[in-house]
Amino acid sequence: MVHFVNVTMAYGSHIVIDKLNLHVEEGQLVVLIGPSGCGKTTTLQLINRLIKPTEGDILVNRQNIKNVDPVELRRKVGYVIQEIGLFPHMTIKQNIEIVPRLLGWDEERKAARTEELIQLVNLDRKYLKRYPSELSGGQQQRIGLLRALAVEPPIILMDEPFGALDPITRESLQNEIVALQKRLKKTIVFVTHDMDEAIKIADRIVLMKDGKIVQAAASKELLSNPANEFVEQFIGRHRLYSGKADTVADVMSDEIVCAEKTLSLIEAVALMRHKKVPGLFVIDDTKKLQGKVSIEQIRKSELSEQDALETIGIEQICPAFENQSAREVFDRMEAEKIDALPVVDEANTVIGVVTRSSIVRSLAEVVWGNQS
Amino acid sequence: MSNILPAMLSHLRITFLGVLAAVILGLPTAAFLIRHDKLRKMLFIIVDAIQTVPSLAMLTFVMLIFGLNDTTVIVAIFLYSLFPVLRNTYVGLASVDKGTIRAGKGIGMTDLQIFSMIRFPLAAPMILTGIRLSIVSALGLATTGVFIGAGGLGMLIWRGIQTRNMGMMMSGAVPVFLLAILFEYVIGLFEKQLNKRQRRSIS
Amino acid sequence: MKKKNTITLFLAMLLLLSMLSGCGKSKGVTVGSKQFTENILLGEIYAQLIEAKTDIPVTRKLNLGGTAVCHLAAQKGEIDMYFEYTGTAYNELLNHALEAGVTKEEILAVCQKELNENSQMTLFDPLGFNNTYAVAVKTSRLEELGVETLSDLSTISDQIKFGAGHAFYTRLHDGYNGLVDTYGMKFKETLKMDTSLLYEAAHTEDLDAIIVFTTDGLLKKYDLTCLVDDKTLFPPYEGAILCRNDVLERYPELRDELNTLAGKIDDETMQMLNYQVDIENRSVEEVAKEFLISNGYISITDQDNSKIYTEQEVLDIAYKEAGINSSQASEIEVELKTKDSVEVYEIEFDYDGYEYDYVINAKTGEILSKSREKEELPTT
Repeated sequence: MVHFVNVTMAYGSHIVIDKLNLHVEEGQLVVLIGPSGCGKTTTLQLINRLIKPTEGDILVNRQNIKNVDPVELRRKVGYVIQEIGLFPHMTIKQNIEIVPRLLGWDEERKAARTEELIQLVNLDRKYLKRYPSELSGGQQQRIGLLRALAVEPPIILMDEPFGALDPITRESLQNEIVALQKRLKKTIVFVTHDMDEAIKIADRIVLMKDGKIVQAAASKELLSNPANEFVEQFIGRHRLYSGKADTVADVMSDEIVCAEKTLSLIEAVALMRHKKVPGLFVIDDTKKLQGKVSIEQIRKSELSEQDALETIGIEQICPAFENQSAREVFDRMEAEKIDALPVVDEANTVIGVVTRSSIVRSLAEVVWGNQS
Repeated sequence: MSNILPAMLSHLRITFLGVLAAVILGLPTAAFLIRHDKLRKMLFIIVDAIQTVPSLAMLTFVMLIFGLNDTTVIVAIFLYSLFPVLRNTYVGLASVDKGTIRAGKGIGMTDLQIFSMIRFPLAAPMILTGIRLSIVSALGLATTGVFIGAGGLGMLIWRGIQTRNMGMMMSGAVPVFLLAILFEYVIGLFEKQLNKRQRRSIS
Repeated sequence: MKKKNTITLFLAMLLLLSMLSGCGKSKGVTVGSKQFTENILLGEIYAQLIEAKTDIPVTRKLNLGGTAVCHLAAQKGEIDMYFEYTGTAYNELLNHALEAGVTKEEILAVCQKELNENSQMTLFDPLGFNNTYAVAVKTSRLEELGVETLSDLSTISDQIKFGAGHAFYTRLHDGYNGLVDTYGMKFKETLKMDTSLLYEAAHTEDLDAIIVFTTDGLLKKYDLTCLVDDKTLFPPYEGAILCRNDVLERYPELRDELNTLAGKIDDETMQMLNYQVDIENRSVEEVAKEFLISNGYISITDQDNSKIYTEQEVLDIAYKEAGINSSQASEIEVELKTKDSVEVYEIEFDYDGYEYDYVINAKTGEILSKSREKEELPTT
């Protein structure tokens, strides 16, 4: 559906997109993701000719977009942006119907289509007469989506559409996209910087860096077989599928609750409450492991609440190392009745924690395969 | 005083033609300046400087070109109205939310449509403000037209002052005052109405 | 930007249209004037004079903004003539410094010569009055104070409470500083006030001496006398009509008419004329006409042929003849009729027990017949 053939885009001497070759198949939801400046948004904007390539060709539906009038092109491509960009002086109805209006549809046809659209997302009809400023951010972006769908474009471009919304709204909209996609099977190119979002909604993830594609694969593939260290780091250790449970690295989690030894007792207690853990691992200011402290200890001590952790008497522990056998560590934890064991590197810097649940998770992947 | 009505009509005619000329020239110019920032800075300096010229000096200068008649006052009003009209229009057009413009472009509006369907309607309240400001000050300026032989309510005011005839003076001054208030109020209402629709979206 | 081009065209058309409405140099002459009563009055006088004595159509552009506007307009040809003052012309138009010791004859000569050469305008001979600053004192107190001239005043200046307008104090040489330097004035009190307030203060004797202009109408109202400027501190501002040479060439008959009033209006007359407009609140047109007619500069037969007298005008003629003023007449009747193909007014009114009858020619204002009868008392 969309093909990038050796596309380069440069501002003067700064190369933003470097000989990019990308193809997006019909009916797929492809996510472009990567660190800032990797070129993901530029790639998106090349598709609807908001930006022109310096070299190379881009084909949409087998037509080279060089030969298509940009305005006509954009009317056939849905576009949803992070700022939402609804027109504040138009009603919701007018906003939804804007592209049909540009194309000269008559009132009846517009109204019929609007009716279809609001059914699609279960939007209450009363909103049609309202103005954008009367709606919440999440509702506005749903309208933004309807606006993009209005003329049933074959492709929809979405540029960090949920970036400005709160996490709860974001999640609900992600779910809606996934549900819609099941029904409509549109070709969607979606830019985000949120890995969880990408994993959740993508059929295919394209990870970019410095204007090049580092790895492009289905989510499962990416998570199981990251191409290199960059990919691993970007995805984030805890999301990777090891599909195995051999070493400590396979079964550990990076959600370790640490506190610096200079932290006051009262803050330490608050942290434990917040994270719902019975104890903390104490580190120094370079994240080197000092030991652990339990809430019991703090309660029993007669120190004042402003005193630092280190005055209590930190219990020494023997941490685990990444390449240790997971089995051995599991057995040790069973034997010594340890609930959480910190994992450190050669320099004694804390890098993660092995807990019952992290072990269970890994085992679950091994037994049942990837999360869906 | 049966000469108030023709004087008032003449006064209004002079005021409106002057402001209208500023609007007709100012609106497209401001739109043009959106993309030409250097030119804008230069032009604004000139327009600001015009504002500082005392009105009688301006009238005398313009009179040398256009003569002792209404046209001179109209041209002077035009020049003084450029400041509020150009500035307000420019700011109104330029301060439209960039996200909204980008959305408009991305969904397939031509440049002209972006201007006429997004920029201009959203800038309308500010543009109206500029027009309101220039009408109200033009009404005052038009009273000095008498000094270069133009019509309007100025003659009544000044002859009234000179002959210490309070009645005559008021018959000229009160209509100017009332007209100013009227336009302030009415145009202000329109502005408020337009503003209601442009409450910033939550983002 | 096609849209911008059409808009510019539209604007140009609009400007053109509005110019057309004010455009078209009319035939005849245009008389201008500055903004103050005296100048407007004199402008009107000359306008009526030209209208009555010649066939030249006259346009008025009175009440223009100051010397600058007037002179520039005259140079440009927007107006053809206006009433100017020698001091102003000498100092502001020709840029010569007004020094003490230069006589008014010298100033006049320079003005007439240079205005002719530089601006192609003719400054006609002065009318006689000199509208300049003066120190005025209540007439009734002249004897008590024992002063006639400014030098006299300086001998008692330490007992004098003095007042003047703001502008007077800022003049470099011939204002307040001049009074101090030239006459050695050392006033007991000096005050800054608005003109009309000055006169009030002099009247109530809160001030003893005030600065005035020699032709102010208020001088007559409050009965003040101007002290003689024996050391000629205040520069002369003799008044005369200033006219473009090309107009004089186009209408040769104009020259004689413009010369008519030379030397004919002195300080007192000008005061009186100003008084009639400023204090008696009569219209400029009326005062001008009355001045011209009553001094025989224009006769009633010079009037424009299509115009006839208004009712009020013929009534005034009748009242004058009867020696009364309008408020004294009662049972007034006026009727316009045609008698023997002549338009006349028949007027009747009662006064002091008599019934007056007048027949007046509507075109010329000539009294054709008059009579007076004792009123008939109602019989019982």
